[in-house]
Amino acid sequence: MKKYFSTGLAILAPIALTLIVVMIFVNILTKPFVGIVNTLLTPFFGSPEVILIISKILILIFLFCLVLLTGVIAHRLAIEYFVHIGDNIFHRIPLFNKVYKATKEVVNTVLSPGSATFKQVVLVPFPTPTGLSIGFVTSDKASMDVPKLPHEYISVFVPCAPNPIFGYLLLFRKDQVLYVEMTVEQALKSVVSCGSILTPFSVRKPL
Amino acid sequence: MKKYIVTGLVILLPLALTLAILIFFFNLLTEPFVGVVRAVFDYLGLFTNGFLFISAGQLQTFIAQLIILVILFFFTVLLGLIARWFFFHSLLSLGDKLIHTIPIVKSIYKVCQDIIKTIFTSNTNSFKQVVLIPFPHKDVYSVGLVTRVGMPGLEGTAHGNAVAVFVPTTPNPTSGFLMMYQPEDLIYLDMTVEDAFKYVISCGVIPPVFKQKEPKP
Repeated sequence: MKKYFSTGLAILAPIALTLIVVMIFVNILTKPFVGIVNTLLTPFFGSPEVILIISKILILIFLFCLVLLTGVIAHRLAIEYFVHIGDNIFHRIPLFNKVYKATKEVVNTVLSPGSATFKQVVLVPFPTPTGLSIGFVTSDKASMDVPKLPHEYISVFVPCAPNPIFGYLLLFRKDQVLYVEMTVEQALKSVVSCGSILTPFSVRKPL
Repeated sequence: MKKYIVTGLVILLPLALTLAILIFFFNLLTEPFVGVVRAVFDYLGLFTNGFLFISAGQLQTFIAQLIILVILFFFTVLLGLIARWFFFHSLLSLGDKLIHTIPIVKSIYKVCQDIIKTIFTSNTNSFKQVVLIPFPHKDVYSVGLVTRVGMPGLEGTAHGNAVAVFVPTTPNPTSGFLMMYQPEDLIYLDMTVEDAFKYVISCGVIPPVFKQKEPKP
C-alpha cells in the first residue's frame, strides 16, 4: 500500500508542481488584461469560469504575437527611427523616465547576444576565504578607480537557496574566483534543490 | 524566429516593467482610500455605466485612484505650506502631543517620526555616503551606505570611532545587514546613492564607476 502510494506520488507531484509554477507565471502575465477581455467575451459565453480560461489563453497568444510582431517589424523595417522617437518621449515623462532608463539598460545588457551577464557560473570564496559558494557573474569588469585595489574586479551575484530571487552582490578579484564549466540552468537547479542535485562539473581557467 | 522574439522583448520589456513598477506604487498609495471614494461614486451615481469595453467597476476604481493621488499630492503640499505659519504650527504641535499620549500608537509614532526626521530634514550624512566595505571577509567587497558616524557607547574601546554601515541584499534593497566598521577599513566612494541602488537592484548588471574619495572630516 505504502509502496504504491509513494510511486503514485512520485509520478503526480512533479506534474502538480510544474502546473503550479506555470500557473503563477501565466497569472502574472495575464492579470492586467483579464478584466478587459472578460468584458469583451461576456456576450459570447455563459459561465464565468470558461470565460476566464479562454481570456487567459487569448491574452497569452496575443502577447506572444505582439512580441514576435515587434521583433519582425524591427528587423524588416527601419523601426529604429520610431523606437528612437518613442524613447525621446519616454525620457521626458517625469518619474517614468528614471525607471524606464534603468530597466532598459538591464534588459539590453541581459538579452544582448554577446553579453556575459548571468551566463558564467563561478565558485567564489564566500562567506569565508576557505568556503565556496555558487555565484553568477553579472558584470565582467568593474571600473575601479581605487588606489588601494589595483586588481581587476568582477561583480558576482550569490543567490540564496532554495529561493534564488534573493542574494548577495559582491565584488571579487578575478584571480579569487573559480570559473566552472556549468550552464546557468544546472547551477540554478543545484541552488533550488539546496545542493541535493549537482551536475558533475570541471573547473577551467579564467577567460 | 528566436531572433525576432529577442528583439521584440528588448523593445517591449522595459516598457512593461516600468509600467508594472509604477502601477505597483500607484496601487500601494491609493489602496487604503479606494473603497471610500468608490462608495461616494456609487452614492452619487457616477460612472455606473462602463466605457467601451471597460466595465463600470474597473472604470470607477481607476478614476478613484487618480483622484486619490491628486488629493494626496495637494494635501502634502498644503500641509507643508500651512505648517510654516505660526498659528497652524502650534496647532500641529498640539496634535503631535495628543498622539504622544495614546498608549501603543505613541511608541510606533515616535520611532517613525525620529527616522523620517533624521533622513529628510537634518543635515547628517545618513544614507548619503556610499562605501565599499570588506564584507563578508577581508578580500571581498560589498557596496554599503553609511547610516551613522560616531558610536557614543564605544569610546575608549578598540572600536572608538566606528561608523554604522547598511549593506543591502540584492535585488531587493529593503532588507540587509547593519554593521559597525572602523572608517579606515572602508573605502569611501565618489558615487551617488541612486547609482549605488541601481547597481544593487540590477544585480550588478549596471556597474557604476567605483572612484575613491577622501572621507569627510
